[in-house]
Amino acid sequence: MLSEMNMKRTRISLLAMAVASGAVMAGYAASAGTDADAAGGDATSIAGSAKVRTLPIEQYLPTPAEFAKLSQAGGKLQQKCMQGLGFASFQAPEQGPADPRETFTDLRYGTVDAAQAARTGYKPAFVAARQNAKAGGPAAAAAADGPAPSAAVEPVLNDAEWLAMTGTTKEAGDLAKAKQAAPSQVQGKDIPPGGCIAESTRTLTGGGEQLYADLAQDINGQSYKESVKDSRVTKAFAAWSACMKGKGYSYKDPMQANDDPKFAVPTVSAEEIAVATADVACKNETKLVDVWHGAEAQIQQKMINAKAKEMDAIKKAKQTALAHVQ
Amino acid sequence: MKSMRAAVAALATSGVLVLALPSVAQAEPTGRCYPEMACLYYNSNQAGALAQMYHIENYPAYLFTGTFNRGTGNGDTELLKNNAASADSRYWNQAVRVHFNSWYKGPYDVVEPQTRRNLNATYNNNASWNYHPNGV
Repeated sequence: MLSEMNMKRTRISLLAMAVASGAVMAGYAASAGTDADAAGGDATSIAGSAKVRTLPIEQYLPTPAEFAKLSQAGGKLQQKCMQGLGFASFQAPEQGPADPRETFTDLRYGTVDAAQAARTGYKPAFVAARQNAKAGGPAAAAAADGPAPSAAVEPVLNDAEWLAMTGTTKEAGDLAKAKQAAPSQVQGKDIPPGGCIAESTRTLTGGGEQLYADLAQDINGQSYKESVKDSRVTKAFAAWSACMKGKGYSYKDPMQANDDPKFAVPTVSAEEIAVATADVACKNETKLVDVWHGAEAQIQQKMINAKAKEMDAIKKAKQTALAHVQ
Repeated sequence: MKSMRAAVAALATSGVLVLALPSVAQAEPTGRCYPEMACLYYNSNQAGALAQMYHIENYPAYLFTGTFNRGTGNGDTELLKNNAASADSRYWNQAVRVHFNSWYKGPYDVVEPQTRRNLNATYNNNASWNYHPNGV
């Protein structure tokens, strides 16, 4: 049976409370008009959010919002599968929606939202909300980071449910060898390969076992790594760096500022806010994100074209899956 | 870097330094990838030392300030940040993602429940991690 206490929902409702408390919403609403540059046909604005930039790879990988819907549909299929294996009262947990502000690219090129930078520096608004939601704040959170496995984000399955759901035993792990060694039946019924989880994904995608295909994810990573070496982008980095110099900060690119160890602490310092604010201003002044995004989109499309046949199959699987939730 | 470290380690185990180093064979494994967590591995194909990813709400785990778990194989006690090559997930209902930069910036690798993956975007560049998608 599922744990009565659905921790995932608790976490989501705490965050929702923080969001609904006003400050966060107000900040995002205020930021909606700050990124005025509408150049580039694939950059649009959505209500209550900064400019959305899309990438070619989104045809092949689910966006966060799409993944939330697909997970919900997958849960229903898993529930049906579990009931077929004799777990009559099994219920898949409801999947909360993805944060509507979260797109594929919103934090990909660093902090771009001036209003958010002014409040929480390089930390996205949800980080502050998350820390405030925890009783005792960041210090208590750090102290609680113990070695014991946590079941905080999903209900705990009993051994039989686990076997039916995953096709593995809890003890043996999830590698292929362990799967082969796991019992093939539960309650006298045959477990589908990979359990109800793999079965549900196969049903959604028309045979695939992942919603995020490895090749598409590889291209998504590779295109970014190539983009930071592209001459258009390195030139824009240099312009950004000069702009930052003019404001008294020495960083060679925006991610170096974002990753500054000085800011790797739970609290947001005045210096972090000042640097992040200067960063966003210099990004706008140099049109850095438009240049970077434009260059990466081009690099990515070339990589997709070079693997056209495999990528077509991946696109088809994504479309097949989305047809279940539209 | 990794091959250099491996070479140094090989040299060490073959020479006089062996007495000064803890033997992996003698060390008691202190962790593995348990249900309801995801794991990062020092080497590709879920090989080498592992680090458990859970408790994302808690600082500082989500910034990878720790090390790979002692006694879990090649790369144990190495810094976790920017040193992971592969990942797997033993959550059954929760996807996770690993980010290239701190504070959930840059591109990310998604690891769906009960799947495994050699990292690409974040291969030796894992700087932060989050649940996927980030909830409301």
